[in-house]
Parts: sequence; C-alpha cells; structure tokens
Amino acid sequence: MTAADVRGHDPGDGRVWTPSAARTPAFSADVPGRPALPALAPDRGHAAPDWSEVVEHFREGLVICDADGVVRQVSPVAERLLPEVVPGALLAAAGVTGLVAGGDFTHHGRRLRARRMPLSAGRSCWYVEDVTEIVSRADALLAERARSAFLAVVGEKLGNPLHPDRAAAAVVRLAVPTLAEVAVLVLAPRSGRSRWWRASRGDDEMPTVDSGVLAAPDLPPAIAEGLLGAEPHAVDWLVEQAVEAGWLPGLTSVEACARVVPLPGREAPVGVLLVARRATRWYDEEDVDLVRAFAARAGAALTTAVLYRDQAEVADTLQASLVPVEPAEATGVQWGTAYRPAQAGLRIGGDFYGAHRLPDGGSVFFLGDVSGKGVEAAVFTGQLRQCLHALHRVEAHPARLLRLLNDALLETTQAHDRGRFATMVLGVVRPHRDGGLTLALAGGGHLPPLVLRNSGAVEQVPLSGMLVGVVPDPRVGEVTVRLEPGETCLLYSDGITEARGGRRGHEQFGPERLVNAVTDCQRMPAPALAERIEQVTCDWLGHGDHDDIAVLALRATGPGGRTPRHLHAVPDPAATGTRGPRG
Amino acid sequence: MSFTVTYAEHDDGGAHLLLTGELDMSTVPELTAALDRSFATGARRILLDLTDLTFCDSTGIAAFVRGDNRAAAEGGWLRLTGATGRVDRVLRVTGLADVLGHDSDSPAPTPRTAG
Repeated sequence: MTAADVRGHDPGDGRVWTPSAARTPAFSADVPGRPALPALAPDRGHAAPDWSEVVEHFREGLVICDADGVVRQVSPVAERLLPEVVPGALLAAAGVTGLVAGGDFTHHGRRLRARRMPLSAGRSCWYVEDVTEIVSRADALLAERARSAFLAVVGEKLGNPLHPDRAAAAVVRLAVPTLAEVAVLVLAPRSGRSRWWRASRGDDEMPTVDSGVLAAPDLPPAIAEGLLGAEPHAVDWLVEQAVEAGWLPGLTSVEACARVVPLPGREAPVGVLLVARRATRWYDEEDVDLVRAFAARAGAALTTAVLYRDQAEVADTLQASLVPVEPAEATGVQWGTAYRPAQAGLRIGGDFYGAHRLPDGGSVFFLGDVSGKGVEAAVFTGQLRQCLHALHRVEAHPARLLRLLNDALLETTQAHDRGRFATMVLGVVRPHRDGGLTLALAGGGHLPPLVLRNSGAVEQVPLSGMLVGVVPDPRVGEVTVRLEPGETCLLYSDGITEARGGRRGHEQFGPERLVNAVTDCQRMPAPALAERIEQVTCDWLGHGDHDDIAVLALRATGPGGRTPRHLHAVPDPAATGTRGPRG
Repeated sequence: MSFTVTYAEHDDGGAHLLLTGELDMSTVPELTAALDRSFATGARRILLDLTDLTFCDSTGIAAFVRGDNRAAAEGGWLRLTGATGRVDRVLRVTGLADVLGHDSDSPAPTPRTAG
C-alpha cells in the first residue's frame, strides 16, 4: 500500500492515532470500534492491521487540524520533520510558513513538499514529504544534462577547425560563461613564444576575446607546469599568477578562484586552459570534471588544427620549390609565361619551363611536360629542373645537354620502374648586335614551337626528337631559328592543343586553332601573348577539366628593348627598330 | 568515348592486342590491366594494333613505355603498329614511333617467328 492509495479515500475520522503514543502499544486502546479500513478480502484470515500502525510507515507525515486551525494529530514522520508543530496549538502559530502556503519549501535544511487536503467537518490534513533526496537527484540529473548539452555544443562549435588561431579563439569564447568569467588559453610555445587567447564576460553578456604573445620564460609558473602536463593544485597562488599576468581584469586575487587544466595534445599538451570566476562560485569536483571534459575536446580540435597547419606549411614549402621559376632577365629577350596546373588548388603540375643565363651572355631555356599528373608529376619536374640547373654549367649545347639529361633521367626512372618520362623543347638563345636572336633548339619528343614572324606569318618549327628518359641513345632533333627584332618564338604544352571543349564540349582545341589564335599577334609583347593563349584555351575549355597548361614565349626586343626609359631607344614599330642604339 | 582491348591472337610467348577508341587517363587502366593479364599468361612479345585507336594522350604513351620496359625486363618487347591520324602524329612528335614502331626498319620479329 502506498500513500497514494490512502489518498483515494477518507483516511477516517482523524482519530486513527494519537501523536506521541503512536509508537506505544497502548495507542491501540484509542482506536474506535469501527474498523478504519475497508474489510480485507475474506480469504485473508488475519485480523485487520491497526490503522495507526500503517500510517506510521508512510513516507509522508500527516498533520490534522480541526476547523479552527488547531493541530489535533501529528504523525511520527510529521513530528520529526516539523518539530514546531504540536497538537493543541494553532498550526499558524508554529511558524512554518512554507507549510501554510503549500508546495515545496526548505525547513531545517531539508527540502519538504506539503499539500493540504480538506477533510470532513471543516478539518484539514497536511501531507508533508521529505523530498530532499529526490530533488537533489533531479538537480544532479539536470546538471548532468546541462553539462552534456554544453559539451555537445562545444563539440559541434569546435568541429574541425583548420586554423589554430580560430580554434583557440573559439575555445575561450565557448568557455565563457559556462565554465568561467574569464578563460585564458595558452598554446604550447612555438619558437620560444606562446600565444594566448582570453575571453572575458562583457557587460552585454557577450564574451570579448583578445590575444597576445608571451616569451616562454615569462609564462606564469602554473601555466608552464600545465604545459608539461601537470594540473597544478596550489589554487591560491594560481589566481595570484593570473592576476599578475594581467589576465583577470576587474578581479583581485581575493575575489577570484581559478583552475588550470592542460589541453591534451599528441605527445605533450597542445596548450593550457585557465578558468577563473568570482570566489562566490567555487570550482568543485564536478565543475573541474566538466572543465577537463571541455579541455579534452578543445585539445582534440587544437591538435587537429595545429597538425593541419604544420602539414600545410610543409606542403607550401614543397609546393613553392616546385612552382616554375620565372626566366632570368636576358639581353635582347622579352620573356612571356603562362602556367595553369590541372589541379588548380594544388598550384603545381607536370608542366615546367625555365631559363638560366649562360656566361657568354646567352640563356638556356626549356619547356616541357612529364608523364603523369599532380604531385608525383610535379616532384618529377622538380628533379628535372634541378638536373638541368646543374647540367647546363657543364654543357651548353642544346642537343648534347638534352642527351645528358636523358641519361640522368633514365637512371632514376629505371631505378623507380615507373615508366616516367618527359617531353621537352630545350634551346639556347643568343642575342645579336642588330637586336635579333638566334635560337638553337633541341627536340625531346615535344610539340614543335611556333614562330610569329613580322610579316604576320605563323611558322611551325620543324623540330622532331624522342621522349626524354625512355631509351639510352635517343634521337634528338636540332634546328636553328633566327628571330628578327619583334619576332616571337612560342613554346607550349599539349594541355593547350588537347584542351577539350568548344560547343560540343569534347572537341580538341587542336594546333590549327592555336595558330589562328596567335595570327596577327606578332606585335604583342611576349607576356601579353602568353596570357592570350592561356585565355583563349580557358575560354575553349569552359568549365571542363583540363590538363596542365604552360606557355613560354621569347620575343626579340631589338637593341633598345631593354631600356624603355630612354625614349630615343624605343624603336618605332613601323621602322622595325633594326638601327636603334644598343641599350 | 569508349575504349576496348581485344585479343586478336595468342600463342605461347606472344600476344596481339587490338586497341579501339580513345586512350587517355580514364581508359588507360584497362590497357594496363590487359597488359598485366598478357604478362601473367606468359606473353613476352606484345604487339598492339592501333588501327582503330582514335586518340592517345601522354598517359597512353606512358602505358606503352611501361609495357615495353616490363617486357624488356623479361627478355621480350612491346611494339606498336597501324597508328593513323592523331595517334600517329603523337607517336611521331614524341619519337615513340622510332622506339616502339613495329614497321619496316624494326628489327623486332613478328610474334609468330619470335625466338
């Protein structure tokens, strides 16, 4: 039987027990002859239990008052919970205000729940229950739910940040106000300096975030200790250190309490979180557990972000070394280049070009394409450019240089057994007194260059040859081209002629369209010409995928071409500039 | 755009493959797989008939070179025959026609008479 069952019917005439005598056997003498409970089932052969005996075991205490508000009966439980309430006195005089109002109230440190039920003859009964345990369990559950909800929000907000600075700012912002009024995150030192972020609760409840840098030796000892993975226990001097560091605006060391928790990283902590708030809300074990759970999530997010940053830095460094280097300035030559890797996000690809100055005033230049795509191809172009950089110092004859390169590559490609090879055009350009250029070209299985003549004609250089890095003694084509001042030689990769696009979306750009695109462009400066070819190709491609695209244009600037500041030296285009003074 | 490899002829040590369609980055794995199968069945002399091949880019060229390297390592060879149009032009530009060409001046014997 439960209290609720009792509630369903009239507990009787109110004289079922007497207060203090409830625990004495004599009490039963007061029980009137009429049974207080409905008759038990007939098959139960036992006598009806004493009603007062049953009431004694209710969780609820009972206080019964008569119509005048005078307390008439107090059950043992009520006696214990409400010692002020005594039979014979007015209930109102007992001074238990919460009881009169009903509902939950705190009395003698216990949480009580009271409800009043009217009885017959104007009497009333107060049922009083001690709900201290229930309420604290419910509070604990709510608090736990709030913590879980907070951590869920933290997990979501931190997500997968790719930038450590942004992740750090998010961490301190999330810590306020749930964990702290002021939260400071100190990242593990990098090159001897630690960056810190701080969020403090502003007047408008929105935390304000600022940041700074500290040299590693200037870090407060508790922070330095935390960065080694220890969680400092000396809480008092922690606050003082934080105040001294200037991290707790508006809080003095006596007003504040603080905790420091390391943010777990891969090996050592990735940082340390300091949380502080007014001492009116001390950090208890549960609070610290929550801070630790928060720190674990923050640590994971920051570790990811730091790892990503480190990898991105490595990739950037490697990438920078693989991006083609712009040709060095050379007498009488105007260079023009265009470069568009297939994977634009990667910024590197399998096409390459470059030029190096020779001691005799000429330059060796090259443009080519390696088999494969993406990073692997880019790495191969890097090896190839380095090979050429070294080899051009010992061999300046284009065909012999190409054969040397072939031998060098053959060795590495055979060692790797990847069937890697390159196609390229390699040349040596030498200026003439009249402003013209002589190009000695060697072909390594690459698309033959085009020459834009002053007459408007576009010629294809009859250059043949074999892939570089495939056979030990390759056939290398050799052609010498003479450029008059203003004429241009154009080297390009098959990403242009094999660009697929057009109206049907799958048609190749082809060599004819390329020739058309540069026809009548013989007066264009080399950079503009290279850009035009890139533009026309990209227009053809539309939004389609493409191969790596590279263009290298050499224009004979004429004798005055390198000194445009001297107006007299700028050749009149109509006069072809062949007689201008040397720059 | 499609690409198919057909086995025209097979004897011990030799394989004759017909390539049809376009050979580029997306279809080159099929050629590589076909070459792998030929090597796995013991073929060392491989003749690729390119008569019906309408397109070949640098990844296709790379596959030919890899195939020849592999055949050579096993004492055999890989040769190309029948290229026309654009494919022929690519082979000539890259000089591969000289290296892997199966015609006239090539000393490589046909699969049937290969020693």
